[in-house]
Amino acid sequence: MRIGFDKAFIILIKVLTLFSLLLLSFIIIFVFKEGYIFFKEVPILKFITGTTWNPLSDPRNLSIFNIILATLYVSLVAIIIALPIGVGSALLLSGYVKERPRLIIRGLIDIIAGIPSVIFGFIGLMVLVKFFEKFFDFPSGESVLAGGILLAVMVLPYIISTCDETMDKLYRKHSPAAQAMGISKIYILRTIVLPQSLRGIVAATVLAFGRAMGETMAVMMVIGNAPIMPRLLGKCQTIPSLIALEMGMAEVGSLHYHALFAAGFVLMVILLMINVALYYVKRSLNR
Amino acid sequence: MKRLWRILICLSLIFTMVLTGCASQTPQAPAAQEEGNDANKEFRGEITFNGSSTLAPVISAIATEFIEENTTWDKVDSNFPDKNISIYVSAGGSGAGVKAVLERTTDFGMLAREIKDEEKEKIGDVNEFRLGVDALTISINPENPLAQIRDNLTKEEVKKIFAGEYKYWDELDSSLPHREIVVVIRDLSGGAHEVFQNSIMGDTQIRADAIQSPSMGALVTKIIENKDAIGYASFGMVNQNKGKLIPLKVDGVEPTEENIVNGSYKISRPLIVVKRGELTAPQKTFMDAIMSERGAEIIEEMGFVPVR
Amino acid sequence: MMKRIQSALFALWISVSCVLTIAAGLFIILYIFIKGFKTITWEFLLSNPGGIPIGVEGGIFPAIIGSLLLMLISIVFAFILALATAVYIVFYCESQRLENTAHVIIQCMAGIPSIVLGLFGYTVMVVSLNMGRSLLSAGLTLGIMIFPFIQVRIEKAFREFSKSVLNASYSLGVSKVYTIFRLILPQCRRDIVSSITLAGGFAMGAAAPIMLTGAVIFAPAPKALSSPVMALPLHLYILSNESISMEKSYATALVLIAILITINIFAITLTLWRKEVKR
Repeated sequence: MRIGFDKAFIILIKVLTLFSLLLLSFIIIFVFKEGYIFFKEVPILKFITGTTWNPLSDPRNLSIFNIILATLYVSLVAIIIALPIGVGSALLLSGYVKERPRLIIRGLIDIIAGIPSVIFGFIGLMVLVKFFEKFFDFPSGESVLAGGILLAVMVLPYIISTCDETMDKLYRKHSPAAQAMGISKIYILRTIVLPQSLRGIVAATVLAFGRAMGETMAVMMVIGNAPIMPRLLGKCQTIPSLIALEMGMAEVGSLHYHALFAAGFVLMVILLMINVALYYVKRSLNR
Repeated sequence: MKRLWRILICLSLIFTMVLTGCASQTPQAPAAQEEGNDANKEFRGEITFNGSSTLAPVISAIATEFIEENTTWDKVDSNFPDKNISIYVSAGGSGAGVKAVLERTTDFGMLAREIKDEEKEKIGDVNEFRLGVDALTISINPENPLAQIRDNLTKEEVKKIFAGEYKYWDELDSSLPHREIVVVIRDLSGGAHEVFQNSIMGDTQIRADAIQSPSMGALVTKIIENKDAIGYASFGMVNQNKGKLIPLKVDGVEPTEENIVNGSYKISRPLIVVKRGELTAPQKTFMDAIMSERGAEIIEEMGFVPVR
Repeated sequence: MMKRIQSALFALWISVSCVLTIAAGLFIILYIFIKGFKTITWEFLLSNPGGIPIGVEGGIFPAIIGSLLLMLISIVFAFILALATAVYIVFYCESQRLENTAHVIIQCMAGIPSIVLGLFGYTVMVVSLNMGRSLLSAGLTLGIMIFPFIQVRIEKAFREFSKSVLNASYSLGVSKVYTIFRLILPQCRRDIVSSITLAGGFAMGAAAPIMLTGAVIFAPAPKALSSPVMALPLHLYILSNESISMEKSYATALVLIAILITINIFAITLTLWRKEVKR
């Protein structure tokens, strides 16, 4: 009886696992395939390096160079803003905060990470964009900068969590010896913990970058959705928000539809390249 | 045992490939069953609408009242079963409405423009209902100094502003401040996009850095909140937000109900609902409600011109 | 001297960072709370949206129900699959290659932007499988989205389980299945529950995948798996974007955040509790 149940259970587990892995691979293959259909019509080089996106014009112009650039640009701005703040906060967190309050603060940070992107977008629209228009007198507050700042706040929790894990371990490792020698906390943090946590910081950066590039809703609401060459204070369009906006009207099976998938595919490839780069950086740092 | 697993895995992979192959074909086969059901009088108490963001609030409003008055279908018509009335509305732009009708993911498509010939062809059996007329006004923010000095723009001026030939307000009129003109448009799926392109722009492209709004409501919001903004706001929405944005005359013609109906205001568009095939009985009763006097009242309340 | 200045600057840097982080977090929550609080009444929470245009009056009841149901469906779907996969990988997988492949696939999935998943969900579920825009399509899409999240956490929880206890159990002749059910699962229960609730919160807040697969702007509270639903994030998006009602947007945002914070606090207390128990 027991053996029967055991066997059934094992088979169930295996089937479910197989199903999930197949489902996931199916999705990955699906995106690739739908995008690939597009590349048969429009050569991939033209897609990536052309600068006009106008699916309704005649002849159709489907090139996403500006959009790729903007996606990278906005995420870069976000990282530039978030990294110093995140690393600094993590340093303070690991060095100055005791065990119990640390868990609570980590909890609070997780709560911020859990705030949905629509709400960030909403706040971005209500606060950031208006702020730019009022105080800096921009003709229109929607800009790469607005998107960058918003994304920075969104990825901040990820950077802090990842860095804090590394830094906390390092701090605990070195703290007793260092303090016995009479070295101040600041010195420990500055000269020992910070340089040694480089690997963790790089990992955090990549994680944050990936998250920022894939973000749809929040960015869509504050960047202006204009597929032009991005400038810091100008409008732009990112790949996720392009897909979100045009998904509704691209007929399944049309070239436009496949172009959107192709854009998604390009995004995934870029993310993959970043992850691979991280892997190699990690390896070299390990030496 | 191991062999069995290997075979199973291969089979599953093949299955996956096949599924991928099936997924990318247009769904004709399963959908055909759906139509059969409709004809077989299996009573569906749910109606879905998808399409124009201009029309969506109208249909939603009529639907709310319809549901509040009747709650279940048997109160609408005693022949109907005692099922709850469920009407669903989603908005993605007129283009999305056509797509949804084509892909059979909706019962009715809402459009804020004429349906194109190629779309009619693709759908095949088109049933069209005209609810009313809307116009695209060229609107600006009340704080824009332009509102003080002029209340009219020529078609040429409108074209130049939207094409980006005039980049700053003082290029239009030298008494205006040197501030960048913020052009707001609908994205590609919007009915307004097509209508505007055809009636004003012709072959000229709108400037590439115009702000694309995902819905007419968002477009109107942008104009309300930004004093340098100009865009083609729906007449109905301008009426819903009286005072928050100022519609300008085009070529001397003011966007009023009269001018829209008699055709002198050129940038107008029909508000239509399309369905593929025949209406089922419940759909017919709801459609009657929309086209009824009360329906026309609601359409008018929302600022559009109902068809009477 | 240089060292002094460096240290001072460093201290300044980390303090300012901390202050900025806390300020940003508090600002968002407080801002929404203050602006949204006055619009929240029982009527708002329990009635349907109304008025012309829709949403200007009335409440958000269908959206609340819709969001909760979506969360439920996605959690159930993702949990079953994630648990099975984690169990298999940790306890039954013989080959290292298979394990690595599985990890790579799951990693890839986690990197797919939610909007692409929405596109996939639409094409495959709504159109090809003819499920239509429904609670089911949207729930499943969300489930796929949170699957990697849950799976990674469950696997981590399993691996943290003491190897010596496991070996003792096997050497006593206890079958793997029994071990899993009676020993491991109860111990990891808290981690599992907390990861599920966090994932559920994540699913509830996501708007992109449900935009095309099941969420509409107007619907009554759903009665069947096959009906479309309203959802809080999408409702917020519509209300604010189309400037239908700013006060109600803030209130909707507040309701959404309140639900999520409650979920998160619940999950965090679970983890804290476990850490205490471990002591």
